[in-house]
Amino acid sequence: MIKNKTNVKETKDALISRGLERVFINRYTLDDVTKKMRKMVLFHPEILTGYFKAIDNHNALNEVFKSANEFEIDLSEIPFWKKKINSIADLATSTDGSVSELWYGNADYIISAANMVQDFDWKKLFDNMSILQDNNNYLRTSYKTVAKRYSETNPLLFKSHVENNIFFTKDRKPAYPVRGIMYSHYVGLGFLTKKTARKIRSDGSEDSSLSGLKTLTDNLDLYSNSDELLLQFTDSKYEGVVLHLVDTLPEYLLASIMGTPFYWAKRKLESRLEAIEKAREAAKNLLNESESEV
Amino acid sequence: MTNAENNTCLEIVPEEEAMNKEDVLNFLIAIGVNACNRSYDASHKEMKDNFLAMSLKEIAPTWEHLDDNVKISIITIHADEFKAWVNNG
Repeated sequence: MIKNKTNVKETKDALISRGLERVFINRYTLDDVTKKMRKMVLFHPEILTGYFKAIDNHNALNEVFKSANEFEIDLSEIPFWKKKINSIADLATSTDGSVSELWYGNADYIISAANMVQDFDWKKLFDNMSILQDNNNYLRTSYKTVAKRYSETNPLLFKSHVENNIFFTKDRKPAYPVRGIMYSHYVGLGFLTKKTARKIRSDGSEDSSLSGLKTLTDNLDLYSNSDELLLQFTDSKYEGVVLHLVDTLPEYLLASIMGTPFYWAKRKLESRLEAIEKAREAAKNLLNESESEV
Repeated sequence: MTNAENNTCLEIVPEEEAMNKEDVLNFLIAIGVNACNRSYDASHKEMKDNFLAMSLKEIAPTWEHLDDNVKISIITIHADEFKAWVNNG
């Protein structure tokens, strides 16, 4: 039997740490006990004094932030967590490999923490992640989130980033999914001009070109010259782009794609024109009927 | 108008049972021991053995949260104390 008090304390401390690891382990479903303990620890972080090391790793902290979100606990309002959030957000700009883990999707809590820090430097994080993402054809969710936050928090810097690194660069451009997401945010922020629309139309990837166009058709209200911008895409070499135009162009601009060489785009255009004609005739008949009734 | 008059059924929402720091730490110890009990890791086994070797007074606050297997191990290891307690009872 352990009689020594130090040994008892050591054993208890080790078991508490083991218990915390267990409570904040990644699982598909959480039982009631785990939920209860997570809530207790999040609300009363003083419990963690001396034991924080047990959950000071990417997996456990991911669970901490996930649970806080689930239980609607604002960690930034709890002093203990506020301090931790600031140091976690610093990881986003560190060189210890955390950015790489974040990019892989193993440390999403860093983004949650960064979101809680006022005036967080998203540009720095974005630049760090771009090094990992730019030449990669698989777009990571974490990169998408960071790019979005960067474009929202610093639109002008983001605009110059896209222009200097994609539209008007002679160096190698980022991979196609990165260009696609950049076009999407650039257009969504209302920065598109006739010249940059032409650049998006001429992109080497159908996906990238289409994502720029889709954002334009979703945000036509942002542009007073929307017709002019849409018309920049009508001679696209990509069938997907022309098909999207067939679906979304206003009726009075449909003539601009009538000469398309794409078979399916032609068939789709025919169907749309027929539908427009039918709707027009139906409206005419309805008008005639109501007039004859009068 | 009362709720009864209004025919409103009020749902009874059970309140979260409040726990003090000691309770939470004891609960965590129990979760830790339960986890060690299912582990093949030598260090975890050692942690569990150290726990089982603690006095019953130290173990008692964690009792209700322990797995049955751990409880059996405690009784086995502390069998003499239990026998003495039963005989004196």
